[in-house]
Amino acid sequence: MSEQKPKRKVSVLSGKGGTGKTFVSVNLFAVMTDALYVDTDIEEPNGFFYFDIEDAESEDVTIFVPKLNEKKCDGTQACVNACKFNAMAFIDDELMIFDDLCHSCGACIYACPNDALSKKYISVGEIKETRNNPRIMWGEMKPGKESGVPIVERLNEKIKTSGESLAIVDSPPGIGCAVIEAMRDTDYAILVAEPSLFGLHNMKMTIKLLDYLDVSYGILINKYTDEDNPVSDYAKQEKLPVIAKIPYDRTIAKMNAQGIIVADVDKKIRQIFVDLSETIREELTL
Amino acid sequence: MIIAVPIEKSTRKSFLSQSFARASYFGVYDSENETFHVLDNPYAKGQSGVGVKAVELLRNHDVNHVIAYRIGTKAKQVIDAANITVSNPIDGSCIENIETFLEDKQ
Ligand code: SF4
Ligand code: SF4
Repeated sequence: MSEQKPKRKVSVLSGKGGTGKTFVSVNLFAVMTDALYVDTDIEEPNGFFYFDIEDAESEDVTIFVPKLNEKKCDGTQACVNACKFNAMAFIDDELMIFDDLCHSCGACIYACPNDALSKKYISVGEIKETRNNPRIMWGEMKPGKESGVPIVERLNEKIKTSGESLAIVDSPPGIGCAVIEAMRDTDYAILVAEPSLFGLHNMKMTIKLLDYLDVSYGILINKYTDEDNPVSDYAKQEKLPVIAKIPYDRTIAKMNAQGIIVADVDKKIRQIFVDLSETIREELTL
Repeated sequence: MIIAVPIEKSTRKSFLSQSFARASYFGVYDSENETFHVLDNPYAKGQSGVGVKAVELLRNHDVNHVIAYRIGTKAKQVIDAANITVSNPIDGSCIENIETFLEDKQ
């Protein structure tokens, strides 16, 4: 294998959905044309709505679950006892396997003394990727699946092998497993916060996560007005870096809701994102 | 017939637990021998798949009927596979529910 170019990963996140995470990601992407945009909100990917995409390729994401060969099974239940995720039950002499609860750890397969279990691959979702500009990747989880982590893992692998040296990663909402996986190898995070008490609460939760993952970050205040607000106060008091402020403006919100990348049409907004991109390049020493 | 009821306290007078799989105990009544005993539910605080394991536990105690409010979809699959029947509770204690169920059946 050839030596890989250094990769930089910028993650955009916020404690909950609806704070403008995708808005920030796509507008930043619009001014950083050498980047790859990755939407890891696999439950509700919506970043691709902003682009005219014609050439997206799909790839199935599969995981393995155990499959029983009944002829070899003697009912010892070593498999059931080995499963830490309660994905198996032994009922009336029959082994039941719950694919949706399985974490693909393989313990049951190793535990079985009779070689009665093997791997069966099932699809949990897919990954889409554009070949040409704009370079976008996203994942979609199949409805009814418990965990999107395998899809995010696959997106991470694809980021590593992509041609771009910079990836802008739109994280899933919340602070669950999928977010932690999406944050893997992140070099710098943009924490999107709304200037309200609720926004402050979400921001504090997200900061805890970032500190735990030891990722350096800057705060972007979305829907900013000149009035005093708890997010700015907290940032000042704790000496946290505020790297951008997007003014509250109905027309911006409206354009964004229509799938328009505001930085492409509004000079003021474009300048804010150009400045932000420079801050990020400095942080990443690109 | 052996009947199980998810309960909050380990007595026959306990009220029913709102959750089936996360009940602290199961009250188990054997209508043939007319005996009642209480089973601890070790899965009450588990992470996932608790419904599946709770049904497995009951099946290992030869339960063939459950009186409960709400049973999750996976637990329901196991209940069906185990041929356990299910009925809705009335307002009242564990034992009142069992008695009412048996009376209605006659
Ligand atoms: S692979 Fe792991 S999680 Fe899945 S059923 Fe086997 S032991 Fe359980
Ligand atoms: S450990 Fe193997 S033989 Fe034993 S019950 Fe499980 S599948 Fe069957």
